Amino acid sequence: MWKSLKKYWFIFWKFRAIRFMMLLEYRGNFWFWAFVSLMWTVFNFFFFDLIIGARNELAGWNKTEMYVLISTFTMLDAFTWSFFYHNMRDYIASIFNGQLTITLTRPINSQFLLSVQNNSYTNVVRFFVGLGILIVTLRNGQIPLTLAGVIGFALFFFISLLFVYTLWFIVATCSFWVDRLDNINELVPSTRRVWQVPKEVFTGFASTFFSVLLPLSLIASLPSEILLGRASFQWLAYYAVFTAVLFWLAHLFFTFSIRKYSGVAN
Amino acid sequence: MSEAPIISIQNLKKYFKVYRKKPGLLGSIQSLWSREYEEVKAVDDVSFEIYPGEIVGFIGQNGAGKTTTLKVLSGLLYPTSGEVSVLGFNPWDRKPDFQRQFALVMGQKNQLWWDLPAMESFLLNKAIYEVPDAEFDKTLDKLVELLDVKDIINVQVRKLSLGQRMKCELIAALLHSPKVLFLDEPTIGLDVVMQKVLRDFIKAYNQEFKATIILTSHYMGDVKELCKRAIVIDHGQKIFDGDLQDIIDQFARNKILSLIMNDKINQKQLEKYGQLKEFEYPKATLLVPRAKAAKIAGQLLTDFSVADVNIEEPTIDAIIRELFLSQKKVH
Repeated sequence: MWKSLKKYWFIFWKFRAIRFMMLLEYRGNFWFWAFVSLMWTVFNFFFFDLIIGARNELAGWNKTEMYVLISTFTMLDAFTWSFFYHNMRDYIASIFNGQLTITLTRPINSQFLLSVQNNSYTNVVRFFVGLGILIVTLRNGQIPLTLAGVIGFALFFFISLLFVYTLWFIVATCSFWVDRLDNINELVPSTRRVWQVPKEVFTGFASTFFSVLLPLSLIASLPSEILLGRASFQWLAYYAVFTAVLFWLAHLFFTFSIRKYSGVAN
Repeated sequence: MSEAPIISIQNLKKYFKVYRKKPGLLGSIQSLWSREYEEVKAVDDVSFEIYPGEIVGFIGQNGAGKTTTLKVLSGLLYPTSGEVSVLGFNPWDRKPDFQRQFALVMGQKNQLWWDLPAMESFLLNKAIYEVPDAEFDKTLDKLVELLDVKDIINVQVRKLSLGQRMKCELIAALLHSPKVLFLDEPTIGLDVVMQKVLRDFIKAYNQEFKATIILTSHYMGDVKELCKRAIVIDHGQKIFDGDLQDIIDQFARNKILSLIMNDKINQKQLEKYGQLKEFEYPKATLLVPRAKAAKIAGQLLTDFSVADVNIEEPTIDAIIRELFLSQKKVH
């Protein structure tokens, strides 16, 4: 078990090193995309600043709390674009162009390999911008930080990443069942508007749908609520269990779906 | 053979459902809500056994079922029915212990990182296949020497020629010293010099590592030079399994008689001895029935003034072509 974990850990970082080496091959591309990603962040904060400036609160969240939420979203989003977007794009492409053949014949968990082979470093700057704004907001807003709060935030930040990954992986795995789906990789990122607002924004059926049935509104809200000391145990427990079950279902769905793989004729 | 087979296939069937589009725009519009599917028998009731250390040529036309069979053997495809065992494993269980012991090399797919030197891909495979340091160094040195690629393994893959890339692909696939090797068109697109280099390498690898190899190739030269045994597959069905020489004995109906004449003769004079393939004085080539080849050669020597006569077997390509054409008539 330990040996196996060590192997997976080593391979994870080996891919990061490979990607970094490739980045250095095309550094102009890196700087351009880093600039674009930074602009997204600036516009996102600017947009919410305008809304909150006009109303001074959004669904019961004041300006400081909204900044915590948007910072958390920014970090999650940076991670999403750095990791999931590229890996899921390659995963989907490999099903249609037959490159998956090579992955499936290797003595390693195929789901792991498909999920970690690629990443981009262009959003790293954005992640740190989000982290910086979070720290400044917490300090300026005089929000007391506890060790449990920081650990809880880190834990649920990870759970949110796992939830997004799992959802994305399930959507990408649907590619086994159709002849071709050009834009399936855009489905999950298109829901990002839901992640970046407090869950209380949604009412009625939308609230049930985005908080319970498909809890996209909890992605940034719950880790932020932990830092702000307003998280409810029931929501945290529900979200953690939901994510764990979804992760398990994603693995089953993948194992079932690869039976459909035909690998493209030569 | 007294040894147990390393690969065993019994009554393997693999059927696919293939969508048949009606022609034209109307057909495309109809296909939005209603599609007609047809069952294609990619592999239909194929059985064979392969023993440790064998190099077996897997011959067939495009779409005959060769690659599908290799994919089933590699655990990529689930068979419709039948029993398959490779190295004692059910391939589609895809157990790491099984995957560590075989390699699938497809001439049209690559595993090397395009923007990095091949060495980076080798190191990644070392980690994935858990090859110990000492074994990795030893195997890499051996393969690099056999393929003569010392100078290119640290050059970006995108800067290598097709032949150099194929050599590096082979190294990447063989670093874990697989016991079973599936080679699917490994020489496709390569020039004749590089084809020869790869053939020599495959032969040397088989001898050095005692690996069992199944080779598919459109180049009969690959099969002829490497394989003692051949399995011929057509429309998903096995039509021949045995020594390559037996294909010649069974399916080559004619021999080639090459003549160099001393005196000028009429084309018509030669046509009564066999099927005249070429005639350009002083050279002539005749196709004659195998059994009568020696007798006809004797007659020609008696009837004409012949400077030289040569009796040859037809090329293996021609025999296989004839074999497939005869099968086509059956289908």
